[in-house]
Amino acid sequence: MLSLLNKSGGDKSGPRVIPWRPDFRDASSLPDTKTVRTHFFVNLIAASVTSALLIYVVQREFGVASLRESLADVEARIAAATPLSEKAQATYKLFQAEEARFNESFAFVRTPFRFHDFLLHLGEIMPLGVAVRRVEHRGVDQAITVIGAVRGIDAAAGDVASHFVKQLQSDAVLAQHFAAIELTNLGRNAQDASLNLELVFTFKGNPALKGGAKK
Amino acid sequence: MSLETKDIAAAFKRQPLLFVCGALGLALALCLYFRSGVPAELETRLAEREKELKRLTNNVKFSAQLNAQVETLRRANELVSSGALRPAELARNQQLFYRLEAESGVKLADIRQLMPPASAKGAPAPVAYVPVPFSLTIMGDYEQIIGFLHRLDHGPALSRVTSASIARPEDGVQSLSLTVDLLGLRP
Repeated sequence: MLSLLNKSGGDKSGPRVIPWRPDFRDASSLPDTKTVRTHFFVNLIAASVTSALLIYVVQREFGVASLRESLADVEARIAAATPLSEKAQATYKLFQAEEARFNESFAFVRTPFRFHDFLLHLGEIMPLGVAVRRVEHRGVDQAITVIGAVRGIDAAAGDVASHFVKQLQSDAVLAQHFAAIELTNLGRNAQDASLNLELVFTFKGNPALKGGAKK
Repeated sequence: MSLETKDIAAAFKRQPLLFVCGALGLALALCLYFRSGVPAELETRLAEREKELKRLTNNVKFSAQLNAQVETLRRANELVSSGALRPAELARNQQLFYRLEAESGVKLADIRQLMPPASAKGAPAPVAYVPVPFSLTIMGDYEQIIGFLHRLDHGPALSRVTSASIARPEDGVQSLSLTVDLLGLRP
């Protein structure tokens, strides 16, 4: 209350002087009077940080040592496997060379079509009254033309020819090789009293074929 | 205010643990800094070497049957090569057909060894074999001709019929004009 009283009557415009007194204490020589000394905390923190760092470094170095050990183990296994692998590679080169020769000879006879088998099969399924006069094989990527004759010139002969063509078209053995079997010519031969027929067997590999096999 | 040795010594005497921890921490930090790349480098190298080891191990593992397979292929190739013709030996090559003529009973009316066809564009170059084409005309009955073709197909030399024309003239004797490729050794 006194200060309030003094303020009302005091000089407001004068300089304010901070009261001070000299501190003659030597802080370093004074005893630490705290319950737990500051040095203890400082040392504790320093020791903790250093210990943590040390543990981290040691763990890391153990990891490095373990990696080096694994690497040495792998190197030893590589050294053991290398001669066997080189031998296997040399054998594989031999295999490749032999395989190339074999594939070349296999490619030479790869086409499963056999002309004599075709002739034999044609003879087996040919009905009575039909005779083959000429067979022209123009290559496995082209076609085979069969020229034959059916005995008779009446309607029954036409039926035999028609039935023979249908039989050829539905034959499973021929279907393995031919995409199309077509009757391309049928004419009456009055001199022989027969029907001449021309059949074209188009191979599956014929480049002229478009849009897949057709019958 | 300069820092002198005696000041450091005095400070060390006051805070020895702090100094030791500081020095050790500095050493560990330097160690971490300079060896920071070592684990990653080792891991990368280990991964590479393990990959290499796996490759070598697979080579060994997958080659277990390789020797037997090579031997099988070699025997097959020897068998094929033993029957293959030599394109330059014209007279000797024709002996094959004369032998088939005698065995099957057909009459060999004409036989010619043709020039080998030029290989198709883009086709792989032959390694060991070339086709040796022949043109021949044989005459005989149906069974003899079938027998000739069957013997040709199962003969010592691999063969493929490239074109054929079989006709039956009025006298009943079949005539077969044949173009056939026989497997020949590359000169």
